[in-house]
Amino acid sequence: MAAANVVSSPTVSVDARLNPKALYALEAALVSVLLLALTLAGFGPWFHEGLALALTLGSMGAAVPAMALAHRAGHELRRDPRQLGGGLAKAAVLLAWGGFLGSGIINNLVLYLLFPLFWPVLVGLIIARFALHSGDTRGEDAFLATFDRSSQHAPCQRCGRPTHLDSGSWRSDRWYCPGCASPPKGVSA
Amino acid sequence: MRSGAAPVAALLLLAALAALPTATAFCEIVEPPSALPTQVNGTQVEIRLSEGHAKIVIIKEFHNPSTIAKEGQIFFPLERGHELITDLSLKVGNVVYNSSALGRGDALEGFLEASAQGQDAALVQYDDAKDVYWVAVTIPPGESRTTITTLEMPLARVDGAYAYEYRLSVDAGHSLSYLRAHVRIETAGVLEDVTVPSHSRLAVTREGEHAADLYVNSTAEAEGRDLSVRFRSGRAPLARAEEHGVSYLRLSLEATDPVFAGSLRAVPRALLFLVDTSGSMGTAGRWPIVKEAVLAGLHDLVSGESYAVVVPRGRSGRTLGLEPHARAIVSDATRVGDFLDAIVPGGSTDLTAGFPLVSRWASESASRGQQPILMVITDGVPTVNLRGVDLEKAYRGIAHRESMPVVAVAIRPSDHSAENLLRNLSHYSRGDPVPLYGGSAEGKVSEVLASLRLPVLQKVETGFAPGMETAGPRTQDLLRGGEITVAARAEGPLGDPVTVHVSWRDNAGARAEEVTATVGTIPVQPSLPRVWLLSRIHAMLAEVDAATDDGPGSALRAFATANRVVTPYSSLLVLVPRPDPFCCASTAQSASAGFPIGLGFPSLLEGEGRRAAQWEREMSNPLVTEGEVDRYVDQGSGEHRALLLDEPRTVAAGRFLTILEVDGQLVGVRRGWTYGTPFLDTFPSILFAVGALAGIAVVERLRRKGEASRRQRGRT
Repeated sequence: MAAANVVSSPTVSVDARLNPKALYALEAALVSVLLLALTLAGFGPWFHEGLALALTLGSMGAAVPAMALAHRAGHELRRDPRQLGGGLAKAAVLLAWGGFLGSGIINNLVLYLLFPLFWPVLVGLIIARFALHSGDTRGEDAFLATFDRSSQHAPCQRCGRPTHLDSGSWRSDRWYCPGCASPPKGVSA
Repeated sequence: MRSGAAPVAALLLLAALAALPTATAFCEIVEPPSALPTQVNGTQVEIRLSEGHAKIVIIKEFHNPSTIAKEGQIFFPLERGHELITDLSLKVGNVVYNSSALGRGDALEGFLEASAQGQDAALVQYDDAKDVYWVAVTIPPGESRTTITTLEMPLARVDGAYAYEYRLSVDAGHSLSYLRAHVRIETAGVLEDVTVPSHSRLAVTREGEHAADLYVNSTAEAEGRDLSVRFRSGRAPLARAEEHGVSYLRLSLEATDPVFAGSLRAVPRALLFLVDTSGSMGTAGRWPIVKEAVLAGLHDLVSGESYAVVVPRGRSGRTLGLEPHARAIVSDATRVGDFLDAIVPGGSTDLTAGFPLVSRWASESASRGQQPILMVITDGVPTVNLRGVDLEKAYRGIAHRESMPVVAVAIRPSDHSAENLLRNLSHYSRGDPVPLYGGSAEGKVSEVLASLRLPVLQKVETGFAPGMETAGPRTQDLLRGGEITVAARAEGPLGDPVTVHVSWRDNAGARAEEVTATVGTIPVQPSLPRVWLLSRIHAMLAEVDAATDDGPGSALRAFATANRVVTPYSSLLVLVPRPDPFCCASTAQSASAGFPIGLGFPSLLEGEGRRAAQWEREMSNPLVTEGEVDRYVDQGSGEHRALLLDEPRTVAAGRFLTILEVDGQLVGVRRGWTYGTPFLDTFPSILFAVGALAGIAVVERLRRKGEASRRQRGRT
């Protein structure tokens, strides 16, 4: 039984609960794998180096948005536990990495990325990623730790008021109730 | 034991060869393939012509653009009875170094020793295996060397004129900076007429009544053609000269001379068509032209002449078409046409496969009193057995042995080298090539057959005064439009008057005539001593060919070395003194290997691209595309293992296809992509792709369904 000031949500079908970004990510990852498989299928007497290079670059190109979408889908799934598709997002990540590395290996781009000259760039990118992204996970971890699955409420990370998933919102990687999310003008928190 | 007639036959043949219609000198430059091959900066040719004598000086400037010392080689495929190399010099900077005449072995040893010590040297020598003369010259890196090679030959009259042809087109093809040719004609008699049939636009400058000059000053003026010069001078049958107390006399009697009136009779011909039925003959529309050429040859025959068609090899399995048949005009054309129509060209090209049959047929024709003529009908790309100069040598040999001209009918030759090969096959075998590209075969074949110089009077004997030493044979065959020429010499002055006896047999029986003149009326030809020398050496070469012991060879070695003439037994060697003992340091430099740019690891794509390109190259080998390969076997199969026991010769070695020559057949050994189904190798990848595509379809369907559900939920 929901609390008096808590709005209950209607029953939603599984299809509708699937996270769209996870699906897009999986599609993109599958495109990456498809292009890689087509490249490999082109090996043989009929092999065309230019076409194969274009296919592998396409495969790597598809893998990058697949990974990005899967990453975003992962965040969305953590912020809305009602949504489904975590497995799909993980599969998308795996397939995308497979497509990216497979294509990168056969066209030697991975070799260039692993070349010592590129190491400072790679290390810089990794540090930047963790530095810029650490806030996301802290807010989401606190949200999941306090989330009540039966009432679908989680306390606002500013005022502590239990807030239903449909009424609260995420601002600056934190979960806020409607009042904290948009405070009255001229009044400081 | 050999018959005693062999030397006589050889001498007769020599005399016949000495009266060839035209003479052609040229050289080919040969060196192993390299990134920076030796260049020919330029060529200068000096040609001196006089009655009965031609002297050609070929000056070639070679440049070595590479960083390693090189040895340039020039081949001179010289015809029997024609040019002999009589001098060699090497020009380094502005200094000309002359040659020494040595025995062949000593000269080669000297050259190799000089090369090993880094000393500049040049050598001209005979190559037994290829039957060519070659000049080798060492060229230090970045430097130039100029070889000056002199050739001389006795010149015979044809149709009343002396004719000389020089292969200027060959020089024009490889001379980068300059090409110059100067022809100087000097005659003892009045120079009546000079024509240049090959270059009618070139001006001939006359100098008095006995000399004329002609210049080619550039590659453009050469017009990519060979230089052909004809001239006429006084028709005195006798000429004389005196040198170092030795008198020389030369008799030349033309076929048109009144002494032979009523005795000349054309010898009936026997035509043998040796038809190449390999795979390439079935491509590019060649086969219909073959039939056209054979029928054109048949049409040219007259009563009493015969023909045969030989198909030596091919997938058709026929080894012999038709045995020699007397000509029966209508039925034979139909028969030969049907015979050729039944043949499907295929398999490898062996242009010597029919030689045993050709020899047998030529001997039989000669015994019937006919003149054998071999017509080789091919596109000029032999793929098995002999090729290049080896093939030329084989044809020269059979033409020499059987006294048989060879006419190569070139059916749409695929490239210049094929055309050149056929040209050489004909030219060195007393024939002319016939290039056919379709249409007008009859006219061209008839023209060439008509141009062949066949005997019109056999065994004409000449007799000089006692004590006179003749240079060549006293018994000769008189060819149509040709002449009987004999040079003789004697110590001291000639007797006065000079008389030469000439005798022969014709249909009316034995005939004899005398050619007489007082010494004062005989024109003086300064080149006569050289003509005598050259004729003597040609005669000695013929004696060596016919001999069974070393006697004539030793005599030739001594004579040729003493007279500085290159023969199979004597050579000319130029050694350049080494100015500085440390000169060789630079020549020892080796070409630096390139440093790979980038990571140096070829990608899988590049590797596969290379494999595919290699496959494409191997599959586009003309032997494969033109169906020259007789059969294919798979690598490792029982048939392949059996082939290896025969120690086959590898014609083309590849990653996917190796072509072997086994028992005169081409066998392709397939491996990798060339057998089985390459599709199976990529089948897992195709399955993977199909799976990915199916996955995309399923996910897309889920996504659309979810989108629809969310829209519906939004409305409710």
